[in-house]
Amino acid sequence: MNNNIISVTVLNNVINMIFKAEEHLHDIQVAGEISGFKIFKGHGYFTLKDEKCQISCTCFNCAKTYQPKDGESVILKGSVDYYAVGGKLNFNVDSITPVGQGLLALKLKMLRDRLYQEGYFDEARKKPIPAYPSNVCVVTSFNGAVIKDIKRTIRRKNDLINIYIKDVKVQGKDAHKDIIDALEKVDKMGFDVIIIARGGGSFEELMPFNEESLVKAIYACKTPVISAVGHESDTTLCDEAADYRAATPTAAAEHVAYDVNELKEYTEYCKTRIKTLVLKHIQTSETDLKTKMSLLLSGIKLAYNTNLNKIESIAKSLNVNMQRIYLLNQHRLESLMTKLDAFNPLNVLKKGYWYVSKDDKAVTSTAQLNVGDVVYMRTDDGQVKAGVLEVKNEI
Amino acid sequence: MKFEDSLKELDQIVEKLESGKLSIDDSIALYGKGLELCNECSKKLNDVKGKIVLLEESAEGLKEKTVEVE
Repeated sequence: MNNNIISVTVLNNVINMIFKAEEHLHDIQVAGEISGFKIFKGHGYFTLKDEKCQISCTCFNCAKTYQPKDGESVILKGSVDYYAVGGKLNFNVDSITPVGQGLLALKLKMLRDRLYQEGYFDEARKKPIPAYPSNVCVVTSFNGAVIKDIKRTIRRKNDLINIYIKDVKVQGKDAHKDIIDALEKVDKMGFDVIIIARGGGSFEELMPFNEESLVKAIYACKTPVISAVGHESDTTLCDEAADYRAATPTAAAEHVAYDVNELKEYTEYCKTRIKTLVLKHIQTSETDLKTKMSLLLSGIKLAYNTNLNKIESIAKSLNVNMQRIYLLNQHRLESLMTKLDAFNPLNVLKKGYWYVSKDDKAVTSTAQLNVGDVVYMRTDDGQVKAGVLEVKNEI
Repeated sequence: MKFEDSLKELDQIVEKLESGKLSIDDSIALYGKGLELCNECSKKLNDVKGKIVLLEESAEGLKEKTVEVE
């Protein structure tokens, strides 16, 4: 063993020299699958992997070359670089060449197509998410930032919803089994909605959410399921099978959390609104009634006045006619009376004539009289009982 | 009645009253029902505060444990 003690700087510089001297590490081509591809300030950062191993890669000024997607198989040209200051190994990429679709991505596409054909993503069978849930169950990692984001987002608008958390593994080989087990259990507990949540990750990290068995478990759930896995750009099969896909866990929380204050205001508004409407209805009816009564009264008054005028006019005309008839008759009467008066026997008697009767019969001939008969004589101012002393048949 | 159903019925009552097609008797009856629903909703909205519960595995199934989340 070498007993010399060296500093980290010396060690890293020695390693750097070794790497630089090794020609097998420079200007080489490496095949593998892209994972976690990100661009930051124009430089591409990702991991190149195969079934067993992986290496960190940096592509400076990556706009100059092909920009791959996660899961894509590529051939990289470049050199291995040892960064002495950070003590990290990196593959500096000069160019990227795609080698068709990556195997994982291809497999995933085939699975997606099959599940789609089998109806697991059918929109028609998706359950609606309740607008006002009381009990929300979040299936996620209890220790991650995700549950904090969800809680904070829900509580910002809603302090009524009960949040139940089922802690599960969201990464790794058997994560999907853990999630499926949790789903089966919480689905029986009668929650209003289940949120499956996970923060952003690489294509491989999100692979548990692309498992066929998880898709089938979500499909079998009786409770509405919201999938909130990764970032907006990541779409997993879990997202497609769920009843609602939220772009992020925060978006899922936003979706389930109804605004309590807004609802309190709305309830108060409804209270005032229905009161106003009913009062208005009552007032309208009252006004309507008053109008009708007023119309009725005017009608009666009008009818009364019209008839009164008519009656007055009839009475007037009757009066005129009566007067006319009266006068006419008066004239007629007067004329008749004058005529009658002319025939009044008393008028004759006034002239000195006498009316002679015997046995209540007028004596109009001497033949009716015999000496000794008693007769009654009447003149203008009285009557006389007289006896017949002599009868002469000549004047 | 579920909160969602109460709210839906309340919406329908407001809508019916707004239509102006009801008799005065029906309006007053609906007003009574609407007021009842408003009070019911208000009560629910001001009810006990929501809790945060961790569902823990146990031999008897999932057990509830109230927790704090930042």
